[in-house]
Amino acid sequence: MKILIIEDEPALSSSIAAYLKAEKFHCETADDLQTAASKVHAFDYDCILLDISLPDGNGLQLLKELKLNGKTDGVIIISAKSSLEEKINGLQLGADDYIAKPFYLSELSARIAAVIRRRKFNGAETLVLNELSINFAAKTAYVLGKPVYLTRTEYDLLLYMVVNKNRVLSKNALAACLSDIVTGGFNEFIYSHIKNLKKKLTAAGCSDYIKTMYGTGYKFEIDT
Amino acid sequence: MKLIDRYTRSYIGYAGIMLAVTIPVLYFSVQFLVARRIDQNLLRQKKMIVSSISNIAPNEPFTHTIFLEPGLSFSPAVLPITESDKFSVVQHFDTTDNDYEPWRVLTTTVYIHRKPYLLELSSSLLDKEELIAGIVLMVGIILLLFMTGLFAINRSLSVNIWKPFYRTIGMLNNYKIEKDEVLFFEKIKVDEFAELNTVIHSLTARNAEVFESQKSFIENVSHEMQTPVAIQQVKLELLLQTQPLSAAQYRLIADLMDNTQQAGILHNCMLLLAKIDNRQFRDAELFSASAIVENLVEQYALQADLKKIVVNLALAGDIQVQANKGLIEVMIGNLLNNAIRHNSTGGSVQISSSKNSIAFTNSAADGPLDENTLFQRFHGKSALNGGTGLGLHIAKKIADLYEFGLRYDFVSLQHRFTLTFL
Repeated sequence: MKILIIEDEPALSSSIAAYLKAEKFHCETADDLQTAASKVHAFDYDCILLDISLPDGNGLQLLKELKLNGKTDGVIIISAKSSLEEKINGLQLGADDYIAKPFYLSELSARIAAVIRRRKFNGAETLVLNELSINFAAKTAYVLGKPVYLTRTEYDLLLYMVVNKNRVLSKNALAACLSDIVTGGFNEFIYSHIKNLKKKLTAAGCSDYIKTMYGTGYKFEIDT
Repeated sequence: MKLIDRYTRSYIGYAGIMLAVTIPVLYFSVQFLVARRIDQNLLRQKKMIVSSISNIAPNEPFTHTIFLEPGLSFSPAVLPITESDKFSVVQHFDTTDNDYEPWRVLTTTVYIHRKPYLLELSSSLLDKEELIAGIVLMVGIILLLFMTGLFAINRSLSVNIWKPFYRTIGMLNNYKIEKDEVLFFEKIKVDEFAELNTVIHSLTARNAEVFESQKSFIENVSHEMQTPVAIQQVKLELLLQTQPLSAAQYRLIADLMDNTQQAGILHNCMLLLAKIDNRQFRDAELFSASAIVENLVEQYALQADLKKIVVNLALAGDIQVQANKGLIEVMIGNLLNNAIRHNSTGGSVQISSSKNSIAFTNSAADGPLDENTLFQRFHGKSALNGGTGLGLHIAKKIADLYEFGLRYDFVSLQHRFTLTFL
């Protein structure tokens, strides 16, 4: 999978690339509109991460161009949190999703996976991890072929951890995947939901892949 | 009082006094002049008669008949003999008009053939009276017309002269600095108003410049402030993935991530406050506030769940609001967040609405809050509940921006915030 990261802040783009490389994504970066434009014209990408505030112009301009050429699939815009207009404009111009700075890499990774899923398989993919399989279209998890009843929250958490498998995920990052509302002090509820999720999976015969890290973080540990 | 009314008052006062004084004065002056004329005529007549008398030959017989004229009468003098001229006004009954008419009479004694005769000369005052009345009335009417006409002309001129001024005032009334406009005026002939317009134009141009530079400053700051926080958050997340990672290292990193998140939230809050202060949220739309409340309650369901808080939604009817939708979402979100955060475990939140207000009531984990400091910045900030201390302050600021009411009261051991829309 090829990803283009259009971001002028090198610390950010390198961090994103570092995280995604482990997911076996091939990452390219561009730090201004011009470089980005030439890259987009030259290659096709599975997903494009587009930062709105670029030094030589507004990222939305590139989005407009892409739309004109019918190439807007797989664009995730990165905007500043305080700018609602940018988010609305971007989505109206045909971007698939948006993520606001500051963000968690694990959340970005989950959104990229979702965008690619929608694009490549119309969301009809099934992910198989040993005895666990997830049917995205039906939003159902199966263990040994049998469906497991999960609440919406539990399904979202499972999906998030599976996409970011073998990564240490902090409570805050997990909370961020469930709710757009970023507030401090509310992240303890993750604990009870994960506990229920683990119970349900193991009860269905799944190995216990969800590991608690140092008491406050989690990791979906699996050999693939 | 309006300028033109002041002018009108003075003018009417002056005109009133002028008319009230002039007409009587005119009447009496004309009266006096005419009377004097009449008397002078009578005296002239007397002189003529006296000279005619002296032309009579001493031995010529004298008969009254020579001097038979209307208004002239001879009669033998009776004692006492008055030598001097005497003027008087006598009323004669006129058979033609069937009314009494005034006459001016000159009575004097003349000697004919050394015999004294009473000479009476009369002149009718009737015509004169009517003439004077007519003249005074004519002059009065002309004066009145003149003054009225002058007044009308002045007034209509005034209205025209002040038109550009009122236009300027109209434009100023609609001027809002956040509309970011510069006022342009068309050329006008009155120097003073032209100068006023020029000054206003420069003022608005300067304001627009300042506003623009402040806006771009805020936009720049927005980008710059979030970048370090974003980098920090992302690097910490990568650090979390490094191996080997001890428990102690993990905890340190987790704490750092919490703090970074807090910093990010704080930055966003301060930025929002600055933008509101700078009147940057000008665009508004009509939408349902009730729908937003419902939406937010759904979004906060997870948070409420943690503290086992039950949220009761009882919205009566739909409240339509004209404002910036994002701001209203922040405002209501903060009120809801507050209701959940400053609540005891297992508590409740009640959201009810009436025709144009929504009330957020929550069971109190503590005593009543101080209304005076409640909406200030960083009030209620505590490490325990992890809030920024800005939630209510921002909500109040947004409410004030649109002149919505946001009140707090403590009723039946519950905190209640009432949001009143226009």
